[in-house]
Amino acid sequence: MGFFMAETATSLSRFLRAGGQAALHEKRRRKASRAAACLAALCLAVCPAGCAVSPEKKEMLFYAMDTAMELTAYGDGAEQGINEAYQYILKLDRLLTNKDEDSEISGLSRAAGQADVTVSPETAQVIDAALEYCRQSGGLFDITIAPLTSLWDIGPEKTSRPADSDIEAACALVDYRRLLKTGENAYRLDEPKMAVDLGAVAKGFASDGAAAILKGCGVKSALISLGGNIYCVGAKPDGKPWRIGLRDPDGKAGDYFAIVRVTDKAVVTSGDYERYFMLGGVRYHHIIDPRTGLPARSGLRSVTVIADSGTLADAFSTALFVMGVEEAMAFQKRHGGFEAVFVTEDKQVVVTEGLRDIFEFRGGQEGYGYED
Amino acid sequence: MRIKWGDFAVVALILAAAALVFLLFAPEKASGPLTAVVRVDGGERRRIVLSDIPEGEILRIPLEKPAGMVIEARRDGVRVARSDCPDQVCVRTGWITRAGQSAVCLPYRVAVRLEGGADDIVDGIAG
Repeated sequence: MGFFMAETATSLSRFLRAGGQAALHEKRRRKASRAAACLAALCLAVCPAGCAVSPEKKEMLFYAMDTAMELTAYGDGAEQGINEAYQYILKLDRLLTNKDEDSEISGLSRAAGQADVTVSPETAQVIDAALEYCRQSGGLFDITIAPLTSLWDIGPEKTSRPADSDIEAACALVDYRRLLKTGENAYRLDEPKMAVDLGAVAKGFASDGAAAILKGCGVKSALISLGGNIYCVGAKPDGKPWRIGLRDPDGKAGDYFAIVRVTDKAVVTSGDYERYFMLGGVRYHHIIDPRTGLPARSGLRSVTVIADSGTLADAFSTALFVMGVEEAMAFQKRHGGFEAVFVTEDKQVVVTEGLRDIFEFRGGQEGYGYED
Repeated sequence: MRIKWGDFAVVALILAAAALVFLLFAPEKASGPLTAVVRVDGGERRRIVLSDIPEGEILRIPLEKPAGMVIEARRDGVRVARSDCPDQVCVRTGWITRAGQSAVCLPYRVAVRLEGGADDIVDGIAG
């Protein structure tokens, strides 16, 4: 490249000087043409080098919604976008969390069977979107599942399971159809002791909002990871798609069994390894089947959903886990609008048709099977 | 037309300018030596290049807080050896030895991650 530029520079220099020789004020013209040649060639020299300049990277790691979150963005607007997205996520956490009795969702649950509760527009947006996915999944994703999630209280320190009678009682309180919209931004849980848990959809919703904020600040390339809920804004700074690993259910954080190449997509996984405890050799994980009140036993270790919407990907990754691979594949065919990857308990990896071109299997060494 | 020494001067100047711009602004390569990075509450606190650790030695990495946490590093990896947190997820992760792997203590907001290395081929991990 250097030689090319040197030749160009020399030719330019000579060309201009040759033209200048015919002029009246030869000496001045010669100086001027030499200067012009230098300037032109310098510009040429800098341009290819300038192509090597990549947009500046900004990143932030913080803790919210009970998990570690990382925002990475490139170019002008990255810093502002990240700061605004961070504030937005904290605000959403305060509105939606079950861990704080002052949150709007806690207020809604407390008023169950008693009164309508008016919430802020953001909260209403999450509830409305989530209810739609409850309907579409036939209730296998159900945001009124709170009585069951708090009864089980799944975590690594747990050493016992709830009594069957308690599970039955909690199950009876789970029914998204009895979370009623009573007015603009107003809702009511129809029966006392019913409660709302947005844990299965909040991070996905937050990632959609964060992506919109980043784009609004002019960011063309960003990677959002909210506790493993991924959202890719645009492509990477070099124009190539983002490469997202899918976590190996049996590996450490950072191990993956496959890679998907995505642009402008959410990638969300629900797995039995995220929150669980072992009892008598049985894994009790956090994805409860609303029909049985027990952790879903559908033959799956994990489900990853890839879609334009993080909210949809989050909600459906839960629903599809509960469905099991056959019902889930049929659901995906009927519904459309997203793709999915399944890992079964027999270590088989199953992928929906639309993913094949962007899916790279890497699980051979860890004993996973995949039919190309 | 004969080549004057002035031509050489111009060419040399342009090559130098190009080289300078390239060196100043060229993108940094993603890979580098395998490095253990410890972040507390999102802020970087420690950065250890594993190959700086003598073979066979275990380096203890103290933190100002949390006081009860012990992080250890050796030539081939890093781990949270001890923690006062209730769930012990960070300790149970054990030694991490590959770029991209991490051990995270959510209650104490400590994230230990291995970065660099030759195998950085994913940008993020879902799940």
